[in-house]
Order: sequence, then structure tokens, then C-alpha cells
Amino acid sequence: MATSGLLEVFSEPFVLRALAAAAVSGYLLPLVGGFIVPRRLSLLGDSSSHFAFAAIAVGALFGVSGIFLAYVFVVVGIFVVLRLVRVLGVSGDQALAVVLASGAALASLAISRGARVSLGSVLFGSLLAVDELDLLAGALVAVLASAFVYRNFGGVLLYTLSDELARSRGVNTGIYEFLLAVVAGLAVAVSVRVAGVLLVTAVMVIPVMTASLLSTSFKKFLGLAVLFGELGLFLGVLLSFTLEMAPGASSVFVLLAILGVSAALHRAGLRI
Amino acid sequence: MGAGEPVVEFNDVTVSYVRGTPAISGVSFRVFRDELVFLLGPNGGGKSTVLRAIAGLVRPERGTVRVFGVDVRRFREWWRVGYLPQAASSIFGGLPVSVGEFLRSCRVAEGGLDPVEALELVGADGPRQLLGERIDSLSAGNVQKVLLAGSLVNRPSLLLLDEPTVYVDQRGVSALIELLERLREEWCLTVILATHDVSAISTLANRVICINRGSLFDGPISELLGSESLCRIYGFHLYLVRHGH
Repeated sequence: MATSGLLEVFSEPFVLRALAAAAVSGYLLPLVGGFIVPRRLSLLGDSSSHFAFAAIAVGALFGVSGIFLAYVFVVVGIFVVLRLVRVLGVSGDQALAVVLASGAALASLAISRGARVSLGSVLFGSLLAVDELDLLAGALVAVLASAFVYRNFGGVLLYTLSDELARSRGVNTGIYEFLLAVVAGLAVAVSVRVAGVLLVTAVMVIPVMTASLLSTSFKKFLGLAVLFGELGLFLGVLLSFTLEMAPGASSVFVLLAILGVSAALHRAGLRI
Repeated sequence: MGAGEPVVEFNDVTVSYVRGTPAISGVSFRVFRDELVFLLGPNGGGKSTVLRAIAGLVRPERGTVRVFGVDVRRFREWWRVGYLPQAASSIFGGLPVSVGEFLRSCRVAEGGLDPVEALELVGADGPRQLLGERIDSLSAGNVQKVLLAGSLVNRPSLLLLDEPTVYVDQRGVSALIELLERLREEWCLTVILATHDVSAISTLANRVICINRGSLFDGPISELLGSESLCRIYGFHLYLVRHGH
């Protein structure tokens, strides 16, 4: 694509919205993943985004906007996973499977009843699907979540390590669990638009995995995860324009390339 | 709280994780200021449940648990209690957490120890260098020292240790007991240490509480040695040889 053509593309409002969404998702998903992945809930993004899929399908069936419905569905789905793990003591993969299956079944039911959903954009993301409300909600959640982590770093770290250890130090893990569900839910609901249902997990997990190879502390781990997430989504969105492919897929390929380079640096003994 | 009041009071406590199958049943005992009490019993006997009940992590189905004179359900001053869970070293697997940030996260009390002080207290080698190390890159023995430092960093008045000698060699066990004896004197620290390893305590305990779902014995180690209680706890006869050192 010629330079003038590229500049023309970047003057389009929907392109700017997509890049802004990439910035928000690239920040929020790895940040949330930093607390989800260590709790062995790596596929939480996958499960909860199926709930978002269900919300979009149910919304289409009844002719209402799926945005608000998606937020509510996803937050509820994630909260159910966390409660199942903590209260009933079931393993994370079992709880995730229950939520994933419920979301997929609900979406299937709505589609079979006549809901019209663009499956391609829901499953793999679409730059056209992003709107200002998503961006505002995502940016607000990003700011609030960052402020909470910064102010409560010790409690957040203990909660991530071990629920029991945190509670024995007086940390109210119930509040942490609720906030994690809300933030993760909103992050997923916003990011489904860009990355798609099937690839949200990749953006939540791959930067976190990459960062853990190179970090010597939890703070650096979170910082690197967010940096890799931003890089992956931003370059991924740019690639999606130039190669005319779904932004979720291009972002995942960029993230995998970063992972490959980081794995080589890890093998060479580099730690930050 | 008066000087003679118990630091921990268990009154006819029953705890069940599954309804109708109590992990401990009708357990009663009291532990007083600067006592070092060994909680002895076989695997699955309920030692960890006793410590978890004191730490407020499980609720009694029946009976009451009081900590520093307060019902544990209303107790809020958790910085006064240090707790080292069983097999806690596994929590760090694959997660990049440095020793320094873990110890700073554990320190919630005003006047708590500096991370370096806490590491020096537990006899860690090169504490300043250790601060920047990833915990999951340390040896099991060093991870145990970091966890112990984390449970002492608030200068607690009550310390609960669940199987702290599992990854520690005999010299390390002796060093641990020496440290606990010293902290009893210097901090007036009360310690409850759960272990299934009788040899870890045979020359050291001033008081032993034996648990195998219920209370079986409560008294000095000298009375436990040679008694039928050890046989009742473990299901076969144990003979302990005491050395003079």
C-alpha cells in the first residue's frame, strides 16, 4: 500500500477507533491475564467471550443492543467461574467448561430461533464493530483497574499467589474476586469486538506467558505483559489493513512472533 | 486481655469440609502467651484444620475459637498472627515474584521488619542479594526460609506453622527451633507448630497436643514418650531414642 494510501486509511474515523480499541484491549487483557493465568484460569477469556457471543445473539434476537447485555453476561460468567472454584472447590478447567458450554448453548439457541449474527466478525473480530461507548468504558476501566492495582499492590500480589495466604494476612479476597470479575468481564466484552470470541484468550495469555519468561519480579511482569499486549494488538491492527485479514488473527501472529523472540532471549539467559 | 488469658482458645470445636464427615470433632485446648506448642498427629488427623480455624480460614460447625480473647469470626488484627501454610512453596511455581516484593506485600503492620531484617532473622544467606531473586528460582529450603520470613515480617504475637520442617534438613530443623525459642523470649511470641514428624520435636517440646480428628493427648513430651497415646495416634508402637543434645 502506498504511503499516501496508508495516510488516507488512517484518517478514517473507524480506523482511529480500531487503533484506540487495540490500545485499550492491548492494555486491559494482559493486565487482567496477569492475575487470571497464575490462578490456572488461562481459558477464562475463551469461556467468558462465549458468554459475550451469547449476549450478542440474544440481543440480535430481541432487537436490542448487545453491548450492555454483553458486559452484564461476561461479568456474570466470570463471577460464576471464580465462585465455583472458590466455594465448591472444583478445578478451574471444569468451571471454565461449564461457563463456555452455557454461553455456546445459549448463542446456538438464539441463532436457531432466528437471531442474525455476523459469525465471522464475532468469532475473529472486526474493526468495523468498534464504537465509542466500548472505548470509553474500556478506557475508564483501564484507569480504575490500574489505580486499584497500584494502591493495593501487596494485597493484589498475595491474592494472586494464594487465596489462603491473602486471607490469613487480612486481605478481603471476596472484594478482590468481585473486582477481578468486573474488570476481566469488561476487558473481554470490549476486546471481543477487535479480537473476536476465539482469539480473546490469546491476547490475554500470550503476552503474560512471554513476560513471565523475562521478568524477575511481579511488577516487571505486569509491565512487560502490557507492553507486549499493546505491541501485539497495535501492529496486528496495522497488519490487518495491509494484509486484509481479521485483526484478531494478525494480532495473534504478532504476539507469537514476540513470544518466539522472547523464548530465544530467555534461553540466552536474559532477565529484566 | 489480662496476662493470664489464653492467646488461643478452642472450645469443643468441630469442623467439617463435607457435611457429616468432621475433619476434627470436639477439640478443646488453650494456649497461653509465649508457649511453644507442638501439634502432633498423623497425616489427615486434622492438624492443618486446627491451624486454619485459628487463622480464620475455616468456620467451626460447632464450638468456638477465640484468638487474643476475641471470637475468630470478629477478629480483625491479622497482622498479629503469622501463618505459614502447608506446602506453601508450590504457590510460586512459574510466577515471577521477587523475594523483596513478596516480603513487602506480607508486611502490613506499622513497625514491621524490613525485608532484609526478616531474612537475616531466619538465617538466609546473602539477604540483600536474595531480595532481587525470583522465588521460584530458589532451592526448596530457601523458599521455606522466605515463607517463614514472610510470616514473621509483621513481628506477630502468635505464629502458626504447618509442617515447616518438610523441606528442611536436620540442621535446619534445629536452627528453626532455636529461632522460635529465641523469639519466645525476645518477642513473647506464642508458637503453634503442626508436624507429623515426632523426631523433629522429641528433644524440644515443652508441650504437645496430639490430634487424630479429636484431641488424644495434651501435656509435656516427657509424659507422651512411652505412653499408649503415640500408639493410638499412629496405629502402631513408636519408640523414641532421646539424645542429650
